[in-house]
Formats: sequence, C-alpha cells, structure tokens
Amino acid sequence: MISGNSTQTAGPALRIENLDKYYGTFRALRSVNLSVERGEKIVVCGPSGSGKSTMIRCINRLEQHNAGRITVLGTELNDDVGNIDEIRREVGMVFQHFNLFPHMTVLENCMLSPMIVRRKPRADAEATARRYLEKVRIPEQAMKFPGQLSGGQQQRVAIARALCMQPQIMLFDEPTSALDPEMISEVLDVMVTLASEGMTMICVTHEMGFARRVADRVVFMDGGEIVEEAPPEEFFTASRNERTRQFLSQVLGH
Amino acid sequence: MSSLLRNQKVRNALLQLLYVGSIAALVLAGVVIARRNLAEQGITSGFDFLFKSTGWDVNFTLLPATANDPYWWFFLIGITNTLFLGTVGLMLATIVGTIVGLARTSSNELAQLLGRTYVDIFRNIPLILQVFFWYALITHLPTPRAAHEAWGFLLTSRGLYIPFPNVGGGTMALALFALLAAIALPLWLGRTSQLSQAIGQRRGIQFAGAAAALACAAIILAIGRLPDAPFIDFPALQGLNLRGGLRIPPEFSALAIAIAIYGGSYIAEIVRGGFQSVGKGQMEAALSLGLSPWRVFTLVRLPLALRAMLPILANQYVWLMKATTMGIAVGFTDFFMIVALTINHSGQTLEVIGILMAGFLAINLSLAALFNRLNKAIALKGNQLRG
Ligand SMILES: Nc1ncnc2c1ncn2[C@@H]1O[C@H](COP(=O)(O)OP(=O)(O)O)[C@@H](O)[C@H]1O
Ligand SMILES: [Mg+2]
Repeated sequence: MISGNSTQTAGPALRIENLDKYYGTFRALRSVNLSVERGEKIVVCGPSGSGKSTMIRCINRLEQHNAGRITVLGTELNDDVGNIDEIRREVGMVFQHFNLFPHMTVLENCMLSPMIVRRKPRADAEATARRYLEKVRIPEQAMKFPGQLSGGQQQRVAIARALCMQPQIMLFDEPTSALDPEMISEVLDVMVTLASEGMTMICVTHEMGFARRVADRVVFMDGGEIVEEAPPEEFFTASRNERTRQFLSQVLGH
Repeated sequence: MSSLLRNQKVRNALLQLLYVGSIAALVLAGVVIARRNLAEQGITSGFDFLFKSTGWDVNFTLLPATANDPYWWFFLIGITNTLFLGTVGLMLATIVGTIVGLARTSSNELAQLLGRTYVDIFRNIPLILQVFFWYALITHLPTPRAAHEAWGFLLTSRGLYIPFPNVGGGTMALALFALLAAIALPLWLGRTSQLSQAIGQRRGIQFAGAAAALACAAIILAIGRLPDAPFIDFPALQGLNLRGGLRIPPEFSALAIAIAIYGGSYIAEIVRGGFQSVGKGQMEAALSLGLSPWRVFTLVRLPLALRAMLPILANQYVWLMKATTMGIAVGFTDFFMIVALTINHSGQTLEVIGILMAGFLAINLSLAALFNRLNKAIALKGNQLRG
C-alpha cells in the first residue's frame, strides 16, 4: 500500500527483479533484471520479437508477469487493484500506433483521464491540456479529431495526452516506427525536450541517434533476455558482445 | 451544345430528369389503366369509403374505438398498434441482442457457448413459427380462474394482467413523457459542455434533474387519478373473468416475445461485430491512462462499438418493423391486418394497398432518416488508421 504522496518516496523509479513472462508455454521474458533511477533515460533496443514490448507492457500491467517482482515508485505491482491504479496514474505510455480515441477531439483526448482519474475540474484540465499541446507544438489542432491529423501530429497528441496526467515515468514503445520518415524528427524533438526537463523515460526505439543524444544507458535485449546494458558511447563503440555487434551492424548499416 | 453535354453537372442533371420522368410516366400509365379496368367492371374507385363507418370491434387498441368509427380511424388504430408493437419488440430485441452479443464477446467460455447456441437456434427458425409457438404456449396457460397470482400479476390464457395506475390515457402519456425525461435529463446534463463543474458536482446536478423529472411524473399521476377509485387498479376475479388492471392480450405478447427473441439473435451478431471491430490499442491506451475497466467500457469501447453497429442496426430495425405484419397470423389488429380487413369489406383493393405501402414507407423512411441523422452526428471524423 502507498501512504501519502508517492513523489516523496525515496529509492529508484523502477526496479525489475527476475521477471519471467510466458505466453502459454512460450517464455517471452527470461529472468529480466533492470533498475532505473529517477530522472534516468533508458533506451531499449533489440531485434523484433526479443521481448522489448512485453517488458515495458509489464511495467503498467498491460501484460501480467508470471514470476519475479516489479516495483514502481516504491509500489509493488501485484494483484492489488489499488496498486495497479496507483502505478497507472504515475506511469504514462506512448504506443507505436498512437491509439488516440478517434471519437473525441484532441483536447478531449487530453482532458478525459485528468478529469476522471485525477478528478480535476474541467477548466483546470483544459488549461493543462492546452499547455501540453503547446509544448508538443500543436496548440492550433486542439479542436480537430485524431483522424484529421498526420501521423506525426497524432503521436505528439498521444505524448501530450500521457503528459496531462502529470506522470513521473514515461514509457515509449517504438513511438516513431509507424511514421513516415519526414515526421520522425518532429516526434523525437518533443522527446528530447522532455528528456532535458528531467522526465524518467524508458524508450523502446531503433533511433540510434536519439539513443546517443539522450540515453543514460542503452539496454540490448535478445531472446527475452537483457544481453547487455551500457552507456551509449560504450555500447556503440566498445561492445564486446557478439549479438550486440551483429544487431548494431544491421541497424547502423555498417 | 456538345460542350454543354460534356459538362458533368449538366449530364447528371439530365440523367436525373430522365429517371424521375420515366418513373412518373410509368405510375401515371398504371393509374389510368387501372381506372379504366375498374370502371369497366363497374367498381367505383376513390377514397370516399374512408369516411364510412366500419362496424368493427378490434381486440387491441391504444386509441378509443367504437363500431361506428370510420375506416380512416381504424387505419390510425392499425398504425399506432404497429408502431407500439414495433417499438416494444425492437426495444426488447435490442436488450436481448445486447446481452447475447456481449456474452459472445466475453472471455468466459460458457457464456460464449450459450450465446452461440442461442444465435444458432433462434436465427434459423422462421419468425412465423416462433410467433405460433409463443401464441400456442400463452393460450394454453391456465384460465383466469385457475391462474396463480404473483405481486398482482396474473399470467392467463386470456393474456397477461398487470396492476395499472387508475388514470386516463392523456395523464398516462404525460407521466410516461416525464419518466422518459428522468432518463434523458441526466444523460443530457452529463454531455452538455456549458456545465463547467467537476465530475463530482455534475453528479449532483444530474441527480437533481432526474429527481425533478420523477417528481413531475408523480405529481401528474396524482392530479390525473380518477376520483373515487383506488390509485392502483389490481386485476381481480369477478365471476368467470378478471376485471381491473391492464390486460396485455396473448396476440400482442406472442408477437412481442417472438420479435424480441428472433430479432435479438440477429442484433446479437451485430453487437458482437461492433465490439470486435474496436481496436485493442484504444482500450490499452485508456487503461494505461489509469481509467477503470468500467470507464474504458463506457467511454471508449461502447462508443466506438456503437459507431460501427449503428448503420447495420438501422437496416435490421427497418426489417424487423416490416416483420410486425406477422400480426395477421395470430389476429393482432396491426396496420396490415386492418388493411386486409378493409380490402375484404370495402373491395377498394388498389386504394387500400396504396395506403398500406405509403404507411410502411413513411414509417421506415422516418426510421431510416432518424438513424442517418444519428449516424452523421456521431460519425468519426477524418481517416481512421486500423491498428
Ligand atoms: N499476446 C501474445 N501471445 C503470444 N505470444 C506473444 C504475444 N505477444 C508477444 N508474443 C511473443 O513474445 C515474443 C516477444 O514479443 P514482443 O515483446 O512484442 O517483442 P518486441 O517488442 O521485442 O518485438 C515474440 O516472440 C512474440 O511473438
Ligand atoms: Mg514491440
């Protein structure tokens, strides 16, 4: 149970210990260990099917883990519904396919959860939403519907929507993979700004330029395991791991 | 000239004109030929018969009826009966369909199996057989003398008897209207954006709205009650028959149940399709924002599923509305039955069939128009990405 305001809780933002996840009999995560400090930026990469999505979806219970412990901001993620709610309030997520609510305007997308979950008055929620839409540089699209925006704009709305809950941790699952090349940078720019403001971020992405610029650590996964964990300069230049080097040569095109 | 003919707008307008003109010519020719044939047989055509009295006695009517009433009044009775049966049948079918459809999409395997069995059985038995089945079942219930009473309700071979407020028709309509407002008002108050209060305060306003409407209903009933009679009229045995309360005749019950069950099996499939069309991504996003499963359902899954269902549901409703003509099979005086009776009694076949077609066209076009508006109002804007 959480008592009082969790922002005052000391300790790491996230701790994952010996995490196992099975889909039926298939073992998607093999004893994963990861600790993330407050304000740290982690980039997770690895080949397709290596368990990156599974790992970050376990952090906010979109997937249920089978063994091991996940502790988010001092709260253990278990079957306690109160804990799950508490963690989801503090952890924002951005998806590959944006997943905006198509029947609501951009503004409503951003106001929905703060009004219902945080019980904010409408005027407050609207002010917050407009502030974050400004921040992701699309204040003028507030009254449009998601279907009327480009992919890059939709993804920036999705980031604003998550930020409106004023979370302490942000999860990104391949936020630029579904975008046309010319729109990738507008989304990455927003993420870089967010990182510079001290947000705790866990980003699954293959944008190695982004990893070099903002990551404190790069985590490389393969076959459901964390194979290597290193600061970017070491990861990109001095990795001794064969699987890492093979992956890097593919994404960097060497 | 030739350049004018190559203009797309001009071409479309000419084609329209040609189309409408040829249909009008066809109808006109039909009318002329029919009039000549009828005149040769010595039958006068026209709508004068509408104002003659019928001498009929109908078994179910929402409007006051006497044997002296003219044909046109009985047409109105038929139409209101059809509308009433249709409304009750469609509402029940929608409830049944929603429950069965949700069962089919649930993760519970027993619920899935039950839902599938239901759909497989009731969709594959013709509606008319189902009507006969329920009619036979109801008319074989105990006679009024032998019937058991439960909470003032009596289920007998002569129909279902229910306790009913002792008020006139007008009062009843007003009270129903107030009850409807009690449901609609909180919904509307919840939607309207002028209310800038927080969720908590808004709840209070919604409750107040509902309470006010309910109080109105109570006051209307209290003022409109008939003098010197108990407020609620309970059915009671008098001699061989039941007196008092409201009698719902077996014909009506059989039709309403059959439409509910048969229509429900079709609507269940529409509901299932609607829910399956909602992307998992939207629901996951809602969960990740901390919304409870119930909120995710009411705010994201249901509204999106409804948008997918509505166009198909409209077709289904129009189609079930036409199915009310089954009433003639068990002797329920719906519009179609009144039409059949009129043809027998007046001999004005063509005119009466014209009225029948116009009536159903009007009902179904209004229904379609209503749904089109609804559809337009809630349609998703822009291009939708599937993922
Ligand atoms: N819902 C699921 N059911 C069964 N297998 C799944 C499911 N989700 C993912 N998997 C499997 O788990 C493995 C890891 O998937 P995922 O975490 O999505 O990989 P990544 O995001 O690294 O590409 C893959 O082999 C995938 O096929
Ligand atoms: Mg993935």
